[in-house]
Amino acid sequence: MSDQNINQNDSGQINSYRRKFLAGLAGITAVVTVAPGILLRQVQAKPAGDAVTSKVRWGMLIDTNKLSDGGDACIAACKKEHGWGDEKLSRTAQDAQWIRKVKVTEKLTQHVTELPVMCQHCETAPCVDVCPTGASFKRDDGIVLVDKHICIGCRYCMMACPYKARSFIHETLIDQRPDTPRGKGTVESCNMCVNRVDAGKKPACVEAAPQAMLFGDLNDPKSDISKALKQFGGTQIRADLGLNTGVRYWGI
Amino acid sequence: MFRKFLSVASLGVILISLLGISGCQSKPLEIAKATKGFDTQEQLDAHVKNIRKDHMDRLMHKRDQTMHKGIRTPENSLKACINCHVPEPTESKVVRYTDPEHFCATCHNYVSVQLDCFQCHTDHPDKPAVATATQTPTTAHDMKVAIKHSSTEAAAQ
Amino acid sequence: MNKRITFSEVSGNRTFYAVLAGAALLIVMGFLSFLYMEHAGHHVTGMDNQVVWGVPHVFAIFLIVAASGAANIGSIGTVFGKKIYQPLGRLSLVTAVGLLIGGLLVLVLDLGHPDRLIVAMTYFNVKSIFTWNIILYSGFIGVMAVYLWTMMDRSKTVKKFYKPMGYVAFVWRIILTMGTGSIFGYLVARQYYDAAILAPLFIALSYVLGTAVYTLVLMASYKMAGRELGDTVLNRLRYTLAIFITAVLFFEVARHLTNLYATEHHGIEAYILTSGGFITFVFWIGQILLGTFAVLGLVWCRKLKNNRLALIAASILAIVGGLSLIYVTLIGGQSYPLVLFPNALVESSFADGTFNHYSSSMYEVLLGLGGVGVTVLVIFLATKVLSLLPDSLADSLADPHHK
Repeated sequence: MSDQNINQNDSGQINSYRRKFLAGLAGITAVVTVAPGILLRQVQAKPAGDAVTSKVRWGMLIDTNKLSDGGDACIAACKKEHGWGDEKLSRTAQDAQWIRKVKVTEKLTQHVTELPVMCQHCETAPCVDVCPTGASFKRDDGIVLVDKHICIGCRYCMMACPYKARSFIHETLIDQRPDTPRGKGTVESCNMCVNRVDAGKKPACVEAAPQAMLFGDLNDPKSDISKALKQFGGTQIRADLGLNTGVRYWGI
Repeated sequence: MFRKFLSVASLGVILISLLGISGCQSKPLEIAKATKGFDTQEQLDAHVKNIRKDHMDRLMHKRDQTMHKGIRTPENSLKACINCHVPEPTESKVVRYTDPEHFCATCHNYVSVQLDCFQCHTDHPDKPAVATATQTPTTAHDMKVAIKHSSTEAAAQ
Repeated sequence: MNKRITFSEVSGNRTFYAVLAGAALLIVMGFLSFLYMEHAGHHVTGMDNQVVWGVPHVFAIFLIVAASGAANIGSIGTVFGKKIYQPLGRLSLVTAVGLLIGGLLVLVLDLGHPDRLIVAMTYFNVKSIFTWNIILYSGFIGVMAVYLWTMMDRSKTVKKFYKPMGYVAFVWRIILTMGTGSIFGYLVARQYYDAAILAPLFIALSYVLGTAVYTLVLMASYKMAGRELGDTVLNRLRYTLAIFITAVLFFEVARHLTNLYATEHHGIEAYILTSGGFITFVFWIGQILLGTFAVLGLVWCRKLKNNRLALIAASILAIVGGLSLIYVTLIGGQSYPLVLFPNALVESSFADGTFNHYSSSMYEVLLGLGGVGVTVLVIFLATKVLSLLPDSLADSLADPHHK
């Protein structure tokens, strides 16, 4: 249902209090539109009542050579944004990790690369294929998400994901971040900060490492990320699987 | 004879319990006051009328639109409900949905309808400090104290 | 069908009720474990974000795969018209249903949200093999029930459907086992799984497990009921078991040889076959030595022909072998790290590049055993209320070629 339909259904009185609600949100949008930054043009908030469309495909480009900390700042920003990594009862192997720093040492050359790995937001995501209820799904704008309302916790998506991007919540959680619902018995992963993207902001990790990460619309040839990828290309992890990932790397 | 007596007796028990139920005085529940107000009484009345009847529809059926299509109309936002109807946490007290004074819990407890939202969604507004300054994660010990505190307070009431 | 064979319900004796009580105890323990895991969350189990499926899934897959195989005895009688198997059909179908219910319960009660079962029944993603399995498993129970009805009803109208139902059940069963095998067969991410051979392997495995479980159930119920069970029937089951074990061995050898040919699979093969520690032990000792060669020895050894103890041992060892195969495939396949970067050493805080350790908790084992309890209860209760067992399976009655 579009925003217009909702409008028609509601009475005039409700509309007036709705405007009041909207006023609060408009404040946030305003900040974004006046904030300086090269990505301003590409990352624009869609109206809150509009559905996302497949005209957009959000993507990320990570230049590992410019990540001097191997992605530690990104990981910290992600933790702060989404509140994971603070599970009290779970063992280390059971803790959630939405994004992690992977150290790769080439066996022959001993060349070391460090890179952050998270959900790669595949175009044809194995996790979406295997999910029995459709809780694991890809939004029209390319962001792969878990609908925790209908996730039954079977963990088949975790078996299917080639990037080990998903975590299962092994215990009861409280005090979640308001924009990041997470709970026992469901699977979760990087959501490309869907809450921020919908509000016209960049993902938290990109904001934490602006020198090394680009976020934008892969379908828009004029976006910075598309231009950069067109000129220099970008590597996918496990490109052999043909998943056409939304996250691309330089320097791996 | 005995069987007859038994059936009459059981009928009596059912009647008396029915009477008991109908005789119950149902006082209007005292629910927590919202932190923000409307400009006019009219707006408030419309809000109350609509939400009392349709809140489950708004939360339940609009959630799919938000989740799958990214439609985030503020009047269907659970976060907006919580921010207005549940007090912000203080040093000494965090109102949780397990507490009877929590806005949602008051009625849901009364009608024995399970609240599933807060398995994943947070049940209270974010601390004002957290939104701007760096977040200091509460330790497990702090949380236990907080829960204990709220439950003893609830018991005291 | 042989006219001299008559069926009747068993009359419960002390041993019978002791078995039921034992099953009930397993169910209670399993249920308590489920409540605890559900309440506390999965942090009390041995499963984690690296090994996401554990012992409950080993039990569940075992029971479900065995279910399909147990119904095979009925199929041989109906579809292939083998007279000697026809009196065995009724118990075969009930055993299958019991195994399936037990397995399904374990699978469902290990979910992160078992309370959302209704979601699994109402939201379907048709691309997921899990969705297909939900339909296949629940449909299986229905198909078996109708099949059993056509088998037991003597009216002409119903009897007309006996043969067609036999075919439906046969095809349904094969698709079901392939579906179960395909849970692993199409996981591109995991080194040990991504192979279509898992589907036929699981079909062969289902025959082994089904025959083994069926043999044990048949022998136990005849022993308890004090009815006569001839060697002819048992020897048929004995050889059926051996043939299918050979089939499993064939597919297993083919699978490993294929893997050994491809360089990208050398790592996982080395892990399973040589350096996997407990996994390697389970593979060689559990699956190959006990589950394959010991069983074949017990079956083919001439001196042990007509030896019932040897048949019981062979059936139990076949079950051990099947459990080992599932354990190695499931746990071993998950213990081996995902290959994000070939030809490189990979390390991270999320166990990249490390062999994952898994040791199950007591609750997982108890939940799995609870499923076994449900199976036992369903099967034996059914023999009490339905006339499933022939009054006698003595050679003179059961063997169509008896002189």
